[in-house]
Amino acid sequence: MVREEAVFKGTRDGLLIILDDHSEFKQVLDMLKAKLEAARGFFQGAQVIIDSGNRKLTGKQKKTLSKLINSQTGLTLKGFSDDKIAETAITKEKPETKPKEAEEQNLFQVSFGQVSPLPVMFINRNLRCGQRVKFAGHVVVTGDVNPGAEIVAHGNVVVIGTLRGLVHAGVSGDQKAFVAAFRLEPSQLRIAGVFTRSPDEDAKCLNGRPEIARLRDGNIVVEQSSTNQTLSLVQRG
Amino acid sequence: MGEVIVVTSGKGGVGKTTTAANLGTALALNEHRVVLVDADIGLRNLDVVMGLENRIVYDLVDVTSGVCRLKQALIRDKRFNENLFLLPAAQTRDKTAVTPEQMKALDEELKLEFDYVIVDCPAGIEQGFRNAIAGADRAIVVTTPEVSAVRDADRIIGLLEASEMAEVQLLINRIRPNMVKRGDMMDIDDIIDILAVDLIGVVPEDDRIVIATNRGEPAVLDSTSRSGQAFRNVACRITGEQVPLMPLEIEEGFMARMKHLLGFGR
Repeated sequence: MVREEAVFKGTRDGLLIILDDHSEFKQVLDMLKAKLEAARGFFQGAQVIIDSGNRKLTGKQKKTLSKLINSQTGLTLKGFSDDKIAETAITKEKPETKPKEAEEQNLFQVSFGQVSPLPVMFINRNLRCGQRVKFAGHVVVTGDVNPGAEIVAHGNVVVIGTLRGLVHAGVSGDQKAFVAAFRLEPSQLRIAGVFTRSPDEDAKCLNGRPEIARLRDGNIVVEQSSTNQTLSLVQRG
Repeated sequence: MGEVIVVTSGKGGVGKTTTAANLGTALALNEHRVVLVDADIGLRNLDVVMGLENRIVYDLVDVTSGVCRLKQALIRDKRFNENLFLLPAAQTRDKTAVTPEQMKALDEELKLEFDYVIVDCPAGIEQGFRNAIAGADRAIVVTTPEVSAVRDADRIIGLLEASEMAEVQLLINRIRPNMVKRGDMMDIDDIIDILAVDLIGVVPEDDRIVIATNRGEPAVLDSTSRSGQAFRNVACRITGEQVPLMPLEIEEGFMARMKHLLGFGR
């Protein structure tokens, strides 16, 4: 994998910029400048946290960075990770926690190699009331997710069955995360930082076609999809 | 070598004890050797439902703690010759008085002697539940057609699956066909759709259960009771017999019943 000097990640607490700690500071700064330039306007209104990894930033370097961030339209620097502001957000990001979490759930898991940057967990059974799956990647359930069951995933959630429980996709702030199910009747749906619940009236899935819930302009929107589309989305991650 | 069947539900009041008493009695009526084990330590009921309360000398905790031998604690039900026994729970202790290992050992011992060991599980998912399922070969999960009971049944089935219970079957209790027909009660398909386990029987709501319970005479002994018939069918299915579900439509008028008697109609 090519190492990048600056990696952008959306989290619940804002935009996390992870700086590579092996490159020269100057190099990192140039890269960051170029990236911000390229994404002009895209991160409108974002609160930025800078994670400098193992690198110890000097006061001067911090000043340079904060000047750079604040000079961009709509961006405000919230702080540096070593200021402990974003501690929780960052520990969640660390990939080292992945295998541990998967083991905790004691579930059958297969990683999809290079197809998607996030690993995929397959659950080949029903998830029942009181069962909770937390995974730093995508989750695919071949079975039902019953009321009272919970899935919390950093990536997307696909249920090949009926989804009646609670799902939180893109828990680390991924606005592009989606939830798809053959029958989408969740008690509550969360994508990134947006929460929604089913309407009070009995809104059963109308025609048995799979549905996808995703974020559109800050709202969770449910739309129909053909099975082919669903599968291709999984592949693309 | 017999089989240990635990009757469980998660939620209280759905009819675990009634089910255990009736299935045990029905199996004994079919000439199987049966022992009923009340695992609800501290809140024992099975002895009352069976009408054997006044014959308790030793209880389950006395056996596991070595105060008496297993044989001494077993109460023989005189109505069924040598076929039905009860191991009552202790009333003055609580669930922590027994460990899952002790229950397992107890079940193993009872299995040698009896064809069926029926364990009446307490409500909840704590130690009492873990004790009751420890030595069981299969489980019958009792639920009623209510959202709360189905939710708890789902939780229990999840826990049973996690503890690698070989066979889990569902018994739907207290169903009221008229309410289901009007759409006011969950029907069997709704429940099966959510729980996704095999159905072993459906028992209709029946006022006679209350009378039978108070008298200490299980409903299966009453040949005219609908719920008794349903429990007898379940007992047959436990032994591997194929028995169709009985039709639930019952509230027939006098004429319909006459027609039925004369061979017309349904």
